[in-house]
Amino acid sequence: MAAADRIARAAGIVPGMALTHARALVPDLSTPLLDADADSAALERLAEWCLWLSPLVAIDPPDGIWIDSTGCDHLQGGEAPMLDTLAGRLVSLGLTCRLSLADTPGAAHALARYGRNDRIILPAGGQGAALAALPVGGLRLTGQTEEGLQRLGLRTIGALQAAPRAPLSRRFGADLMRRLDQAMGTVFEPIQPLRPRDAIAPRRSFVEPIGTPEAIATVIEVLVDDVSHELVRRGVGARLIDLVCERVDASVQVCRVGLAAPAYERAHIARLLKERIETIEPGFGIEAMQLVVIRSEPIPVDGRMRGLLAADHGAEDLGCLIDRLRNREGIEQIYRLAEAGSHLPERTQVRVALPDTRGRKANPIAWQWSAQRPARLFSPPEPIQVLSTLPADPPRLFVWRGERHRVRAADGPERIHGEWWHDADEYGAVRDYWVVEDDEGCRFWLFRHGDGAHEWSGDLTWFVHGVL
Amino acid sequence: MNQHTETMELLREQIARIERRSRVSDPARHLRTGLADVDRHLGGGLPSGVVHEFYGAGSDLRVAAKPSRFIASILADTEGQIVWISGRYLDLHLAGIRAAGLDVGKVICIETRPENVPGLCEDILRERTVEAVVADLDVPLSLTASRRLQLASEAGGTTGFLLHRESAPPDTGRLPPSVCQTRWRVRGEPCVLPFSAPTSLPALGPERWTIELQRQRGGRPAFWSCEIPHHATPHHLPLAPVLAHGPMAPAQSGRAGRIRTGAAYA
Repeated sequence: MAAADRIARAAGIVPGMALTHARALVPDLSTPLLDADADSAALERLAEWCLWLSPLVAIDPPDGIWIDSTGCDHLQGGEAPMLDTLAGRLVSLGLTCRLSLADTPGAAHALARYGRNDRIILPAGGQGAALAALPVGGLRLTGQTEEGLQRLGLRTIGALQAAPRAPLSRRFGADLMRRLDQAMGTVFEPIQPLRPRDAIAPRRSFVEPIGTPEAIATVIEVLVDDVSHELVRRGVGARLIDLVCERVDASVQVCRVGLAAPAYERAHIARLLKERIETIEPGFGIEAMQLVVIRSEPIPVDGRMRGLLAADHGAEDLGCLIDRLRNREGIEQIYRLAEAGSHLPERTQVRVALPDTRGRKANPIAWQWSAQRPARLFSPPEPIQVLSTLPADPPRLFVWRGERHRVRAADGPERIHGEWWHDADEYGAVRDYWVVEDDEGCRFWLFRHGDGAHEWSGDLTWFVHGVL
Repeated sequence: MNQHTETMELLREQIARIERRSRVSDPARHLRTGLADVDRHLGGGLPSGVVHEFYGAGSDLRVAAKPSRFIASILADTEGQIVWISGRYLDLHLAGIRAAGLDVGKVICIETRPENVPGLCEDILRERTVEAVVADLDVPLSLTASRRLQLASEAGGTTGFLLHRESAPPDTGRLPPSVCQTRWRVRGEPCVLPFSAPTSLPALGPERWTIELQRQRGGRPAFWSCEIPHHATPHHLPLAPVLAHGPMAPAQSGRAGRIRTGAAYA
């Protein structure tokens, strides 16, 4: 007996019972044969049905479905109403369900099966306390491990957590602790979301497991070739690609590359993937590799296609370079500077993200500054201590970064008014900029808040805004 | 047929690069500084496909504004993309860079963490699509690191500009040894004051710089003094053309260090 519905359970029939026993209890029991394949197909259909809730739905065989509802709950009016809606719809399909919402797939799995209620919402970070009382069966362990833990007297997840890790890992393998960490959220566990049926996902399995970077690179080339043909045929470009490496020890390694703009070019995609080869751990060997296009977008007709026809390779190469830089770890910002149309030095430029998809036109107004501007602008301006000055003049002597500078010549002032159309507080504010040279020949770009005569125009403090 | 010759050319260039024969004096492989005397001394300009070091002096040592302007004016004539890397907030000012002649439309700015700068710089130097890489350095480079950069630069044919900022030594100190092709120090000098009434603060004269070529592989060090007039026409290279025709003819000394700057005007 593999499963029993509610009426059967009421009659005392439980899964695991022998068929003869059950028949003895209820003589007219309907007992269709177990068809595991049909069950998993039905589960997959149900998972596809769940896509109305969230785009990331994964199957948790044999009887569960994970839904990554991050950012989806507000569409249903919050977490509790979301679960209500989901339960209502499932019941109307004639299904009974147990729902749980937790931070990690592992915790959700355990709570849905062993939780006290059939609808549980776990607050963020609450999995440690909530799982402690549940049996270790909730951790997705193999039957052997579970039995061994029972024999040791470690019946609950809480007891397992309290036990020393090293001896347990030695006895049961690293998998036990990995499952525990995944449920607790200390180790990130990705779910393998359902892919659309028409996803581009060529796969190659090998006669002999491979492990060298050269071999992996060769396979990448072959897979990228297939992907690129298919992308061109459909007229789309890939934005997100997963390279799935299936290892001999049945574990799966995924390396993901993102593209700044939809691309189908073979060389580009292959190069991005090859740069990630060193992150793949082949272990005892990789026996199959699959390249999955997770997200694709139509290629804008006007821009890149035409560029390709005109053999405009410069732009293509640049896109390539930016993609490669983006996929590197450690880069925090990548941008260009563009004019912003303002007189205030800190507002004269904006950072434009790369690649510039909006196709920003050059500013029609050519901003020109007849006065000098520094190549490096201090942000924020550095205050200086003025030791001697006359009201209308720049300082004769000032201290900047702990050093005393005597001014021997100066140019100015260049008056810049506050931009009241941005901020009402700036109305009437004035900055007077001076270029001064000290005795050593170093030139500073100084400014004073205020025009030196009126209190409302500024508080007469001095700053260095750059070195010329 | 034409394609075949092109391929052959490419292959030859690649072989030459493998054999590290890129030192051949080819005027096309030089970046002109715009200063006639400097270019003549360097045999056509700064060689491309190698790494150059720059640093400032005095109050400008940590800011490196003058070396930045110098680099921007050298790169003004280049066609391709320029990558500017910094290990912290990149404080480039658009107006100042443009005034030095560099079109900001071809500058890609990258911010990363300080420890990533040399590695990233090496990677980008290997890119053929990039014309030049400018890196703001906050920690001194080891000899090995500079050799790696040099090799990467030769492999990619990309010119590297290392700008020492926090890593620059104090005025009395020296930069640690490196294998860079050239090392430059740009220093401001007190300008010649125009005539003015003695009571008020005098107006500024034209900016005066000393550009010092401290060392050069396979060449002699030298230094030049130059003047940049006040109101150079906007959207032009104020530094380059003006320096070449400046009132103070750039003077060149045989041995830097022995002849003082002032001697150039004697």
